[in-house]
Amino acid sequence: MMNLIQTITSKASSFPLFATSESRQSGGLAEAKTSAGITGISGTPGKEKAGKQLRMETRDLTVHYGSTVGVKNVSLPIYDNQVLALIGPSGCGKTTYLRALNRMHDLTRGASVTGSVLLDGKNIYDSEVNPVIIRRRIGMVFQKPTPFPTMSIYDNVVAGLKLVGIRNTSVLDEVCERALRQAALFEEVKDRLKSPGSSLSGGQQQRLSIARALAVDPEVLLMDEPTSSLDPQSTSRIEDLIHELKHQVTIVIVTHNMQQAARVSDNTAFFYVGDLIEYGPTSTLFTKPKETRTEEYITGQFG
Amino acid sequence: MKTLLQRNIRDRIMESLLVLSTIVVLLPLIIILVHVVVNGISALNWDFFTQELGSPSRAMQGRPTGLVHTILGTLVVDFLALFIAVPIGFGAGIMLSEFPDHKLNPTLRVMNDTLNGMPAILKGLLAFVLIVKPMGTFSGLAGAVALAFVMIPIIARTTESALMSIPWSIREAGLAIGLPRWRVVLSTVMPAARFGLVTGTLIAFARAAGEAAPLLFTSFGNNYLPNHWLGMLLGPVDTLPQRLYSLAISPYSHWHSMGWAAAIVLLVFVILCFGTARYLTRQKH
Repeated sequence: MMNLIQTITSKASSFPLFATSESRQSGGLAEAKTSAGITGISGTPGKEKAGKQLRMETRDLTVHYGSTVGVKNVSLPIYDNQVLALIGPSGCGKTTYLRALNRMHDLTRGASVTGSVLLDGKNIYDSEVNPVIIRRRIGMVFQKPTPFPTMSIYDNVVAGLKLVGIRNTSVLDEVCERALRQAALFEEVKDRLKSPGSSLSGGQQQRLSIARALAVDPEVLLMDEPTSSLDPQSTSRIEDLIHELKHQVTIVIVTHNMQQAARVSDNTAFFYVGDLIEYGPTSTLFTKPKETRTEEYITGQFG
Repeated sequence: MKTLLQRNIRDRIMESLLVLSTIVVLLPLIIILVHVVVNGISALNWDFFTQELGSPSRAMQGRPTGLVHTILGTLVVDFLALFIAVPIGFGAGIMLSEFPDHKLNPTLRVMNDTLNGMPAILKGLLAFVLIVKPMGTFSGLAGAVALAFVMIPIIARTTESALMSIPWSIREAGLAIGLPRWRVVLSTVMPAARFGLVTGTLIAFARAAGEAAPLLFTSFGNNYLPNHWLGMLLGPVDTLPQRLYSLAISPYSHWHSMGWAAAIVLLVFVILCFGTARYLTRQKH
């Protein structure tokens, strides 16, 4: 196993172009030899210390499905390297809001989006913006694990690179290991990278989906109830993962589980029937909510 | 209140009715198979697979005669038709399943269903106008185009349903890692639907392989093997269903039994296609 890592590490260093753009990853791999975890991976310096830097922002975001309103006039800041949790009862529009953040509604029949979603100050709904590029920068993990059924674990992870024409195997090998480590899956699958992705357990498949999203190196990761179909152990692994990942990517997570929101997020937004009711730092929102509806929801009086 | 015995009897009666209707469905098929085999088996000999038909006098004088040119012609025409129909049929199927919002989609759906329901002989007529007239001769190419018209709507429909059976979440997962839409269809949805795609293609192929009508004035028929393989594409060529028809209406008893033998070959060919299709569909589950 050590041999494998060493080979891959040496491959990594022999490919300078990639190593520079992914500076964290060579460090991570070197560290991995001793700690064999994702702890060694750190964000670019400065990025972390900058604190509350705005990465994305929505302004008066409204999503219609035909004549019904999914969410209306939601304005929210999304800060760099922080986790934003979206909570609220079923059908409150949190998933609708999330999907608007990387233009997933483009393919939904009858869905229309108004208002703006700014990524680094630029509206991603502008006509000249290519949604494919946006989705590379803003990745997404879904409620149910979605490994590509015909692909191996390896091919699943590197799909986002391989299928756009990156064929260099040393690059792909390196990205595959990096992403699987980030998703805390590498140790479990390193000996069977060629077996089908669908052969993994549910929790592993979800981490595979996360690895696949991370492989294209997104700046923002949207997670739509990523643990709702998982057992408690897998859930806690993915929560740990979110803690680690936020040093590298900005995360927006939809969750039904308020404890989860409290555990993983820095900021929380509470949605109710398509409206944003309250937004604030997670600790404040859960201890001193301003709105009565928020209080009623988090104390379990409805939902 | 009915007793258990009464309910059991009812159950038995219903079951035997079901068995009976199954038999009624299967009976015609069995009669055809038995009849064809009984009448044709005597003409199935080595000559049948190695000699060309020639003129009727050959058979009457007892000289060796066979349908090698028909079997080869069928393979050439059918596979060329498949070659033409698969890209178009897949394309239309992808359009129907993956781009339901596209402006052309409702028109495509109606046209496809119309083409599917159109009498096969009209498809032959279409190929006659499109290919035979400009070329000035009957040809295997024209036959293949006519058969492609038979295959295309079937492939389009089966492709659509095979692709639709793949969960939408797979497409979203592909888009979410920044893949363009066509790439998502090509590399994630189509591989996942591969058994359905192959099955649909085989069903279309088997269906077209049994059609005589579109070939009557396109590939026309030929009693001899062309001198050059290109002659199969550019000149009149024999095919099993059409040869079966012309042998059957001929006045020679030897040719009649050869017609039955041609039917056996055609049936085996079609059954093989359906068998493979079924095998592949089973694999999936």
